[in-house]
Amino acid sequence: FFSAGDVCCRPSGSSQCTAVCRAIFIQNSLPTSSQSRMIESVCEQSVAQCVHNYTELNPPTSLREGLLCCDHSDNLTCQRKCRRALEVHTREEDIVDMISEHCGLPNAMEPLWQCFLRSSTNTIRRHEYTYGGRIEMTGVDGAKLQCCAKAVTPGCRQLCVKVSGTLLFTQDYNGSIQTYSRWTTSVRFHDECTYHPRERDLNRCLEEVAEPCELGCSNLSFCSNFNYRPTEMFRRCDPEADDMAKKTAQIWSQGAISLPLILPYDIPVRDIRTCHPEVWKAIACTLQIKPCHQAVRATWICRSDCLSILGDCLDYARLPFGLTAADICQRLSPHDSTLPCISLSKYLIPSEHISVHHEVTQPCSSNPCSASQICMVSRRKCRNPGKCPLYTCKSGCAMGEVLSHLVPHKSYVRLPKATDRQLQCHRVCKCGHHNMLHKCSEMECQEERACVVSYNRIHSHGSKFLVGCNKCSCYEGEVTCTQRHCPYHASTEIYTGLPCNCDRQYAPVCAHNGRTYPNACVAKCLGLTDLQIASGQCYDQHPCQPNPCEPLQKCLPKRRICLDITSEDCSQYECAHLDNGCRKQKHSTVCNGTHDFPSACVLMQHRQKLAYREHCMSGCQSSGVVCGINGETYSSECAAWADGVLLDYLGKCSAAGHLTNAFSQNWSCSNVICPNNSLSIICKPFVPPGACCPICAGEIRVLYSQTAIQKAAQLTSSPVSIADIRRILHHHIMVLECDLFAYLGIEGDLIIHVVPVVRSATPLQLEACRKESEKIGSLIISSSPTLTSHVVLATFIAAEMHL
Amino acid sequence: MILRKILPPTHAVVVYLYFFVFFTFHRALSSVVALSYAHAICNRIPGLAPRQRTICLSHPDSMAAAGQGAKLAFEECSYQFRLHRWNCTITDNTAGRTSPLAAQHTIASKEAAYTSAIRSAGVSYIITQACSQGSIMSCGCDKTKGDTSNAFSSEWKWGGCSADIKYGLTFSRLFLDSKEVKEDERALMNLHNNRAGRKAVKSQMDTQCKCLGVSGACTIKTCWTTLPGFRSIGDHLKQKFTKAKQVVPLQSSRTRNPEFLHLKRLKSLHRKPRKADLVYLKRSPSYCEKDEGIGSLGTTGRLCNRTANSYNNCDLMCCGRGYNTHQYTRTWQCDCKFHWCCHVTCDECTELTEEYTCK
Repeated sequence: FFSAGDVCCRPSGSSQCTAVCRAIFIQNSLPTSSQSRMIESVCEQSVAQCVHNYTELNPPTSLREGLLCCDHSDNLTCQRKCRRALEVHTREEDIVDMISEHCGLPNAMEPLWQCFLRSSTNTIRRHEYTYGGRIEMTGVDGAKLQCCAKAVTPGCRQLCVKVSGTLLFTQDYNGSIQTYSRWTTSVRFHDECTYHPRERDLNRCLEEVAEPCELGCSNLSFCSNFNYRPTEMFRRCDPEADDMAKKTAQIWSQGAISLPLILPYDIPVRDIRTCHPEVWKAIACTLQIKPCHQAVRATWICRSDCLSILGDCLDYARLPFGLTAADICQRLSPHDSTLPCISLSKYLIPSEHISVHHEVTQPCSSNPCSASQICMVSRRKCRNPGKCPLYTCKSGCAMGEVLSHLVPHKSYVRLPKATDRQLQCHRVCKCGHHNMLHKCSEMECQEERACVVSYNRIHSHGSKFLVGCNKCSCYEGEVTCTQRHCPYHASTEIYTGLPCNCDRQYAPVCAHNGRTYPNACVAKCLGLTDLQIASGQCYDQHPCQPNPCEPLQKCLPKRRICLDITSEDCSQYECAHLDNGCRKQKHSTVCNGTHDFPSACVLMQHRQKLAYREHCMSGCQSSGVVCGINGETYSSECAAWADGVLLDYLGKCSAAGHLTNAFSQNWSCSNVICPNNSLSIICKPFVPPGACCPICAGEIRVLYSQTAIQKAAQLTSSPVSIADIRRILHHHIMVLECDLFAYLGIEGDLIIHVVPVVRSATPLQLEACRKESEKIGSLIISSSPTLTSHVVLATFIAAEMHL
Repeated sequence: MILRKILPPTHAVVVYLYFFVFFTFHRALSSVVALSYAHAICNRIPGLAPRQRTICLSHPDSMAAAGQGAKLAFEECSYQFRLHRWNCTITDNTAGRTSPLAAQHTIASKEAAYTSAIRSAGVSYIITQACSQGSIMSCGCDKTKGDTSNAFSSEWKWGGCSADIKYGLTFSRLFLDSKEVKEDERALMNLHNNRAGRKAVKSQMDTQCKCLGVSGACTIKTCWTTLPGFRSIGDHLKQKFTKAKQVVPLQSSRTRNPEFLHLKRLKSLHRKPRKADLVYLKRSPSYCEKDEGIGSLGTTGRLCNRTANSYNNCDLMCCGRGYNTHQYTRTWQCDCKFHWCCHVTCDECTELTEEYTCK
């Protein structure tokens, strides 16, 4: 609002004009007639015109809301006079005076005046943009509200919105308030929707917000067979679940199994303490601890297990007439034997990894932080082993009134508008001081437009399809595809595998988004123009020559890769004020090889050489130029890791690397010597796209929408870089020995790996990291609110896992 | 406008004066927003104490909810006393210059006590409800009952969104109690009754619990606090009304104003009244005859029941003045039948009934 005032008032010549002009913009209503005359007489034509245009196009919303309030009055004369007052007068004082003449003095008990009072709050709120996490702005639970869009039945969808969003009260014509009791709605939702077989997507989404899957359990006393399984995922590992399982088993031992939300009747069983007690214990524990399986949408027990246990333990004497074990198992297990199910057999015996489970550490598994803080694993280099804290507790903002999901400080989150029926409209807020969301702005509503591809084929929003060998997805009317060049067997040209079938010549160019491409042909194929590329690797570029900073500042190179290829302001440097003690610099830890410094500026002050922009890490080499798997050169392996890139081979990058679908691989990377990979004996190594040497990891390839990235850059006021994405995702890795690495492939997708970051990884650690990568992949594929709440991660539209 | 008279001098002075008038007239420029309806309305509501006006200006949404609460209180009071001679009308002697939200009985009777208490209860109730519904900016769910703590040891835990009763009670206290600026015995009585009303709401809060889980085994229940229906609060206060206690003010030796209220009893034990009880200073008038001075509208024209055994028996209601009988034929629709498809036909039944109104 003020900026409009600046635009109009600044070009004015005289100070009188500026004063009058600003006065008009400060007040929150239309200029009075005398003000308009003053503007005309005192100001220049252009200023007057500007003011006039602005006020014409932006009538105060108080006018519109006022008209709605007039309808609250019972008396028709009063209504008419109220509307007339709004038309005739512009200042609220005059309006209120005129309404009081005909409708009586203001009285807080009348709905008419209550409505006007409430609309003033809207005015205050709009100016401050502070929603502060209150129910009407974020809903009771902003994270779960995003799940409501996945509901299949309209009844459950409405109940979901009522429970997690705002409840609007309705006033019927008698003026009495009908209240939606949040309690009864929540109970109805729990009873009708939570275990409903049709609402699997909704329930899985809600479960992932409230009870996310994490690796391994420990310290369970009753369900001890679930301990020490660091390569399996469970939803609830807390002592409360353990106790619940124990009590459930005790209740079942009284002769009947009741599952009121799934079966309408009790299952009579013989004494479970004598009939397969271990199996019943495993069932009770499975229902509470909830093992996660990537493909399983609900905690189904396998039908074969169900039939065998009921066959032995069912008390046929008390069974209702006509009911068989097969009928019961049909409700409890998936209908189709091809659907994956939770097999009970492995939970009947203790874990095989008992002796080696300490290789995988999960510092946050015991929930050491308080409810309003986020536990983050800290992978810093530890100078005194055994004395460093393995986790830190950072404050975070709740996405609503309920603390079900927290987001870290300074992150941008998007929340569905709590009152919107369609749930397609969002607002974006920043997590700021005092753990409150503020600085909210409204986003355009998403429309699920279909995409029209060539030959008049129409794809619906959200669908994934192949165009040749390229994977494509339709998102809001825009088709995004990978940029592979597909081999045509009939073609006579040599297939190189690079996009646009570019030559395999390695003449690297650096694009202005910080990415090195093997040659100019590839860069132009991906949409860059000649002006946006420079020859040579990005490692060899000197962003600080000529000095782009102001005269008193020093320029420090700071490489980053921005996801938006066309973005103009992906600056590769930062400017530092050296003279005033680096106080103005943002705190971002850097390492000189052995010690941490709070910022690059402080490092320069101490005349140290910057090794990499991250906490000092162990597990990597901190000297010796290397080539990363993304085709970029780094000054050391640790510098590559700091950028989220794994080591490909030693020395500067010299080859274009393997790519998908390239069937003539023997002449790429021919001059490259791959480091000895000791891991090849315990895993099946593969070569990531764009690299020369194999690694041991699970791979996730994510397709993202360029327009969504551009919008996200606008909302967060800075271009979206890979580092931003990596920072959010790697907080989800809860295993100390694993870390997440991500890079931008030249085929237009984002490639994510989760690998062990210890010097010599054991098979258990490899498997654990692979499971973590599976966890992240399934969160991305199912668009879980834990990820899509972040504005930058909501740009992912399709993902694929290769494990 | 004032500006027209000042126009003759030079333009600079005009602009300065315009600015001066503008800024002094619209005082609320301390916040970012200059004008809003709240400013206009809050300054015009009659009978508000200065502190109440400040609250209105800074929390207009809570003010709207408070008004709704007062209205709910009035409706409930009318329901509870529909069979009594006094049916919850308030006439005070300020000739309409006080808003009904702040109106006060002339005589400090039991009825005044009930009015204060139900009004304070209504305001707390509606504010708490508005918090849960999200229509008030400064409150939401009860944060102390929101998070699930790590250590469990009991049979239940808090979950979900509990009604933020603390905010409702605090607002009701700050808003209604700030009206009592004088420090006399009437103020003490009003403060006591306001508090009794708030206690009534607090005591009637429910805790609902539910076993959430797939198995029927309920090991740890999830509990919420919820608001009851307002009728139960109205009933509760009505019982307190019938057992209301008369009090006398007690001067303390140092100050001129009374400090405490003590029960008026024939025995000489001086005791303070219970916080949950309603107190009154003077005995109620009979409310039979119309008398503006004491705030009674009389019972002329009220409906009464000839055969009832309670307060609205015609002898009691009409105070022995007698009643008018009005005979009329009542018609209503009866024996309605549904025909396929799709209309309903009804017969009309008639009955000769009598209605009695007091003279």
